[in-house]
Amino acid sequence: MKLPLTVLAMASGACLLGALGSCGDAPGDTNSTSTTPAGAAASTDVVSIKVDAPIAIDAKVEAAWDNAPATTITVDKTPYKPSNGYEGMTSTTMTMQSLYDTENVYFLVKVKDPTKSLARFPWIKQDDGSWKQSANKDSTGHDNTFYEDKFAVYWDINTKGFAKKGCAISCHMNENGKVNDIDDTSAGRKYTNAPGETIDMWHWKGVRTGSVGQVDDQYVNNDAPGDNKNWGRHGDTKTGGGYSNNKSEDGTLPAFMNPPSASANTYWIKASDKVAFKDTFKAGDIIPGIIVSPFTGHRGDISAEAVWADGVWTIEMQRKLVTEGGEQDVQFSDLAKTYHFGVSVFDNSQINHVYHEGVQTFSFK
Amino acid sequence: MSRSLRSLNTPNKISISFFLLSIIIGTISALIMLGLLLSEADSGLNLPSVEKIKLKYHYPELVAAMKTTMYEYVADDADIEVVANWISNGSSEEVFEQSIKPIMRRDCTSCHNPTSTMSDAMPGMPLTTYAEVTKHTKAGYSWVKMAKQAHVHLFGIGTFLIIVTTIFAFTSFPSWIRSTLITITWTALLIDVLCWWITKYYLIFAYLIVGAGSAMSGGIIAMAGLALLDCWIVIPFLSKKTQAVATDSDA
Repeated sequence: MKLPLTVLAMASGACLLGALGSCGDAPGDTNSTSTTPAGAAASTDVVSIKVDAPIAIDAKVEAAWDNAPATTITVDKTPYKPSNGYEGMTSTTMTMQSLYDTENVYFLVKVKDPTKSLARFPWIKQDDGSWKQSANKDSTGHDNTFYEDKFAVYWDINTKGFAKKGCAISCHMNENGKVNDIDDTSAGRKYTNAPGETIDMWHWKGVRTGSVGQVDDQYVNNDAPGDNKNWGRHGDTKTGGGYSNNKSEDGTLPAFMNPPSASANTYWIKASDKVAFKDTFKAGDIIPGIIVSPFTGHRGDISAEAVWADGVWTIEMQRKLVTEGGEQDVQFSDLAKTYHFGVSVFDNSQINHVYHEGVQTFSFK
Repeated sequence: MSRSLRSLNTPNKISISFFLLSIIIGTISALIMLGLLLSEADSGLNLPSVEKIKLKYHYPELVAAMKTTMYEYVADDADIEVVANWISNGSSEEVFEQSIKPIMRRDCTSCHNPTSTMSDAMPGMPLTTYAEVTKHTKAGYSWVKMAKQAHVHLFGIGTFLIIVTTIFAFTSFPSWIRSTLITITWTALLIDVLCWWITKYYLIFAYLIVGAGSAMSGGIIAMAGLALLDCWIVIPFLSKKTQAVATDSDA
């Protein structure tokens, strides 16, 4: 019996070793989140599926979306550490699906974000009767406390290196107080590396554009600060609309407020609703810090509706396959082509964002 | 008096067996890791690529990094050749300012700068100035890095190898088998490390790194495996069937 007992002891030991060896995460474990529909593939490819009827942009996931494969994307990098702290996400997952018809392309994005953040620079009445616009800016002049949730898609148009490096190709971080040898206090700047190179940027801003059913359609080119104060970042050409700070001329009071009759929103005022500010408020009351209206012109090319529930932003977007925005827009004119893009998530943050390395691909089926 | 492994009591044999099993699994894991680090594959057990070994031990650190671990950050493959040519032509400061600095800026300095706070920031290895970049343009490992790697490697492997070879020396296999495997394994360890240094100057020795590394790990696995079997069973034609003393006269 001596040898069988010994073999049994060794077998038990081997099983224990095997068990220890399998303690790591099993493939797919990390994807079992509420943002991942059944059958979601951990892939870098988003494939758009053709539909016969237009999709309603209402942030409701109608049955047509069941036919669109969901691609899971993990974003887990941040570009800088704000000097006054950062309480936002440093990692999250999202899924992306796409449909298209003869005229439009549609995207359904679900981003895990445990907090719904819309309190962008609100005015709060103080105990002494004065008004204070809430802000907590870091050393770069940007806020991560009183801001809004945002989501961005970066589409390559003709930028060398984007197909390999993704968004990072246009990311130029501050080095010893300078960007490209120019004194600058920002954490970094976005611009492409050569004249003529352009990137299309779809920037959903929860308060400023989400409140009016739009994505801010922007682009990035090679402009230097002498050409544009935001360096390479631009809004597409607009004919009207947009957002502006709700501030009196001397900056000490709100300029406007929601009318008592309107379904008052604490964090924005629709331009069509605004009435002159009249202080009948008590300490602790809040007046929105921003006035919003939909863009007209190419800056308003992308429609969007979003809803936050159970720790997930669901954002539904629509844009024409081919726009009249010319070189400012990626044009989905060739349905056989592979398009390159990157995504990033801003958790109540002005410029700090969680992003992924490398590039995602998009194609039509 | 020395005795063969089979004559040890059961607790001793269990203890030695698990140690040897750990050595086998550990060595295979190390081979998997090296195979992945030094090949194009991203899973499984792979042979190291000689090209990758050449890059690691012979080429300038900057070029090797741009071709391997940092490749995903290089926007344009042609830039690697630009950097390699700059180094082989003497790493002049004038060419650095004209051609190399823009490449560093586009692909490297977001993380490799003293004030970077990006997720993957490497502020301790800045690449923003000529002086900083030329620290990484010398061929192969620096002497400091090589000496550090070599002594850690030799002390670490030497420590467990003396245990494995001693256990193997007490097996019941013929003396010539024991002596040969022990000698090959120790010799391969020394040749492997020696060739790191020589490959810095003579590229051809990269092949010997692969050979010596394979011989060393093969020897460790063979000795541990054979000793493990010898604890419990008689191997036909190899093991002595008696619990006789294992000495050189066994041959």
